[in-house]
Amino acid sequence: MKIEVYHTQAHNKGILKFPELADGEEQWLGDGFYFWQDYQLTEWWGDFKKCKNWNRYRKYDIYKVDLVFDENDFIDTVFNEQDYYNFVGSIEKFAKAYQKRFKKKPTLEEFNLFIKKFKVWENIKIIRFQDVPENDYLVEVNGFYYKKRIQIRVNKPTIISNFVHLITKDCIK
Amino acid sequence: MANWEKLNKEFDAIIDNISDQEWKDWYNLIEVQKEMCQMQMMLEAKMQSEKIIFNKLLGKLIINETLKSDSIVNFSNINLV
Repeated sequence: MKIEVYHTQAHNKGILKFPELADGEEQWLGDGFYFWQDYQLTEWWGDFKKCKNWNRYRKYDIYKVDLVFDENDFIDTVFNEQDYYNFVGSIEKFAKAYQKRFKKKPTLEEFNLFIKKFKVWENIKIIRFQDVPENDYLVEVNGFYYKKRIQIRVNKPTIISNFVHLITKDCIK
Repeated sequence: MANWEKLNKEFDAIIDNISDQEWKDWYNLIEVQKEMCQMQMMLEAKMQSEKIIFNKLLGKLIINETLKSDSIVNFSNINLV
């Protein structure tokens, strides 16, 4: 199975040879390589998140990435009903057990570290998920979020089979 | 699609049988584990990055060698009608 996705990063490090590993504290499912499925949202993410004051070049880059993997290694919580409900069931089961011990709610990053530590789901290399919409003009019309903000999280870089720089863009603000 | 029969079996076997001590050990070492996972992914990323660069160079080399070869018909000796 092959899918084409996009990656964006500030131009501070120049043109990258490979996607940047994202730190789990700020990410949906812990450390990993995160991609956008739609080009439009990639551009928006570049303007919105990669053009903060720390971006000294006032530019960001967009890359096209090919992901090649076996369909058994893929959890698709966006378009596959079975994947979605089973995934939610596992998260809730983990959260319940965690809360019983530690009297607080876990983070998704902790869930991810848990499955890694106990070597469950070892074959899973990629998860497609729907990110939480913010006040984003691309996905919202009059308060109605009609479009999904789809992201892909890869935890096995070996499935990243191609990585090509598409464009360098100027920050709009 | 993921094999949920297998995934649920794996997951339930752990979550239903994990001891209090294992929970505690896991929780106490969470930062160390995070660092180790990061290092492993970065190492794999470095290797994969080199592999992609190598494949691109190999692809270019094959194209160059193929174009040089006399046995291949190139555009200059095709008569377009």
